[in-house]
Parts: sequence; structure tokens; C-alpha cells
Amino acid sequence: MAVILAPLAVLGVSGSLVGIDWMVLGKALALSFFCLIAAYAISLVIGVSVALLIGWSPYTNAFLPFLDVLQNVPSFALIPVFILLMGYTIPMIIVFTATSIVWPILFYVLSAIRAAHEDLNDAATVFGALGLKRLLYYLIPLSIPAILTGSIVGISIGWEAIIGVEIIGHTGGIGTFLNSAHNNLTLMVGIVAILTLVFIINRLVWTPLISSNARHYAE
Amino acid sequence: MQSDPLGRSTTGEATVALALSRVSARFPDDHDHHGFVLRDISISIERGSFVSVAGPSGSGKSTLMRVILGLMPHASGEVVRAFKRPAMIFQNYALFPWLTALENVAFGPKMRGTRKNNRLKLAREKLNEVGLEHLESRYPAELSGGQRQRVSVARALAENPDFLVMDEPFSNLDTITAEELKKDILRIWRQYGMTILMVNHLIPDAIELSDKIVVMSASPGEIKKTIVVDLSRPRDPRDPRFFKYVDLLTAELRDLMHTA
Repeated sequence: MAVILAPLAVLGVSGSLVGIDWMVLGKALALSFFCLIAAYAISLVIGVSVALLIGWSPYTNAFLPFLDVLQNVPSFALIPVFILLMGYTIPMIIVFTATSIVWPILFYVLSAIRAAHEDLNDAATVFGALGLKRLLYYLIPLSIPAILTGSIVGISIGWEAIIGVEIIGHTGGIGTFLNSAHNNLTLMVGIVAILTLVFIINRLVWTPLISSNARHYAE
Repeated sequence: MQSDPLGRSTTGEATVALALSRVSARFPDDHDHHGFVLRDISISIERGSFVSVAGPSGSGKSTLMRVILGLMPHASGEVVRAFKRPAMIFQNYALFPWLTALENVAFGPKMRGTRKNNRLKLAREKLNEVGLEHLESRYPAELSGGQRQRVSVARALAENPDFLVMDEPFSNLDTITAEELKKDILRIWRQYGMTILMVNHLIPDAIELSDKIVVMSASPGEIKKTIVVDLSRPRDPRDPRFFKYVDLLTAELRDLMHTA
């Protein structure tokens, strides 16, 4: 608990010294966090589903070059396209961010399926994990560590994307807050606020999941 | 007139569990047709017998097991499977790391749709048969190599198999653990009356356990010789007749090493 309270205390003290408007900062951070969670949820569903379907299919290799090209399209180059299609809106922020988060999740899961030991695949087949059962009771559990790693990497990329698009689109959120900070100290407090939130999520969500995963998936 | 590959008797019951006729196979990614990993394999395995497959690395022993169980396709020839409930024990155990020992054993029954209470009861019985009932809630990573292989045996037994394939089951175990497991395998074989097909590179083990030893050569994998082990059971590894078989099999394998 102390490790969580410490950064909160740093944020509280630094914000008070600068005379930050907590309501404005809180709303900005909450908006960005909401967009990030929504984008992550979309990416998780799409990324895992596509990876499982491709990994499940006997034609996995045919899909890879296509996916690799898509992944390599610089996401920021797509911002004007998203603005054109959806305007300066919250859904645009969410969809754009999702296009950044989805790739690590998809590729980590796909790699985990492709890298599974042949014996393990054979054991699943011999003991009857065929068709939909293979997906539910073999491929999904097999992919959990990759989903976790992909999520951690994806969310860090997601923060970058969301702040970037908020700065460019001026749609509100923490990116817009940082961009319109009228002095360096306000800017610093904004950054400390992001770091504090990232740190708390890490301690409360990812660290316990990584440790439980390490027990269940050790070789 | 061509004989029935399964050696069916007048009552129509097959006396052969498996028959392969001129089976050849390539690796699935061998698009350039570099060659066969198995060539012209013909073999028949009697129901209830214990057969070992020995041979140097690259002789396609594990591939043969995969073809037999239908885990990979064969390029030509005929595979006639007269067994209904196959199971397999793997060299690297191949336990699902996210499942406990009990859940691993209950995996097959779960896939068959057995109700939860029934499959857990069955899995406990099978873990009990291999002496691991006290470790049912452990994950594979929390078990020793010998314990993992026992869980793997229990998982196979939960299928009530009539045909058990074992791919080098003792290779990753220390001598004492392997000896104990060997005794268990013999007991299980007698108790269940199943057919066992085992890949094994350890010569004394193959002779101690098998009715018949199929010797394979490498590149491509072909059957070089079949040795029928005509020794009564239980077999004594210090018996001079046992040594004769050891010498015979050693000489066969040494020849293959030199010609490889």
C-alpha cells in the first residue's frame, strides 16, 4: 500500500505547490484513461480473436506478410484519415488508439501459438481437443501469457498514441492538458499525474497477474 | 488371395491392433521434396503385445509414431488402425502447464464430455494408480521429472487406452526413477491388456520390456530388421540369454551408426 501512496503523495505535494486546478487535471486524466481502457478492450477482443483464428487455421503462414505490412503502417500517419472519417471526437481517439494497441496483442498471441511445442499440440490432439474445444481448452489457455505481455506492451504504446492524438486533435484529455499548460511546472505536474496512474495500474493489475502467471505457466 | 491386414479370425475379431503397409512420409514443410523421412514401412502389431522401435537419430521413430496416431499425414501406403482408444506418453511429458496434475489427467475425459464430478473421480483414481494422489493440486512446474511422467501416464490411463504409444518415456529420467516407472508400465500393461508401442534408444530397456523390437535405419527411415524377444517374463537382465539379445541389438544398431 505504501508503494501506491508514495507517488500519490508526491503528486499531491507537487500539485499543491504549483497551485494546480485538480478538477481540470482529474477530468483530463479520467477522459484519457477512459479512452485508453475502451481502446484496450476493443484491441483485446479483435487482437486475440484474429490471432486465434489465424493460429487455428492451417494457412497461418499465408496471413503473416499481410499482417506485417499493416502493422508497419506508421499509426500517426493515419490520424488525418481518422479525423476525416470521424471528426475531432472521442470515438475517433478510441479507434485510433485501438489501432496502435491491437498489434502487439495480435502478434504476441500468434507467436505463442506458432511457438507451442509440437508435443503439446500433439497431446491436445490425442486427448481430444479438436474443433471448438481446441480453441477453448487449448489455444486460449496457451495464449494467456502472450495476452498478458501483449497487453502490457500494447497499453504503453496506447498511452503514447492517446497523448499524441489528443495533442494534435485538441480533443481534451491529458494530451490536450499538457499541450495547453501555461508553464513548465504545470507541465511537470501533468506528467507526474500520468506516471502516478501508470505506476498504480502496474502495481495493482500487471504485477499480480505476472506473478500468478509465472506460477501457472512455468516450464 | 490377399490376406486380411488385421488378421481377422473366423469370428471377425481382429488379432492385430495396427497394420502398416508400405507407408512412406515426408515432413509437411518439405515442399521441395528433399526426400522421405519414412520409406516403405510395413509392420503389423498384434493386439496386446509390447513392441519397441529402436534406431539411430534421424530414423524417423517419432515421425512413425505421429503417422500411426494420425497426427501427421503419410505420403503413400496404408495405415490400418484397429484400436479405438489411443493414448500417448511423451518424452517431454507434454503436460499442460496451466492445469494442475488432477486437471491434466481429467483433460481427456473433459474433452469427451464426462461430467465434472465423474471426471475428477476418474482422474483421482488414475493418479492413485501411479502413486501421486497427494500431489493432485500441484502444477507441472512444481513436480519433479519422474512425477511429471507419472502424471503423463495417469493422463493416458484416464483414456482407458487399448493402444498406448510411448515416445522415449524414460529418456529424461534418472536411472532409479526410470526403473520404477518401467515396473509400473509393465504392471499397467498386464492389468489393462493394452497394446504398447514404444520408441526407446536404451537397449536393455527395449529387451526387458518388448515382445518384438523393430530396428530402423536412418535417412530415410526404413525397417532394417525385426527382432522377436523370446524370453519368459519377468525377465532377468543378468540372464546370459538376455545378454545375447543385448549383443544382437547392439550389433544391429552399431552397423546402422557406421553406415549412417
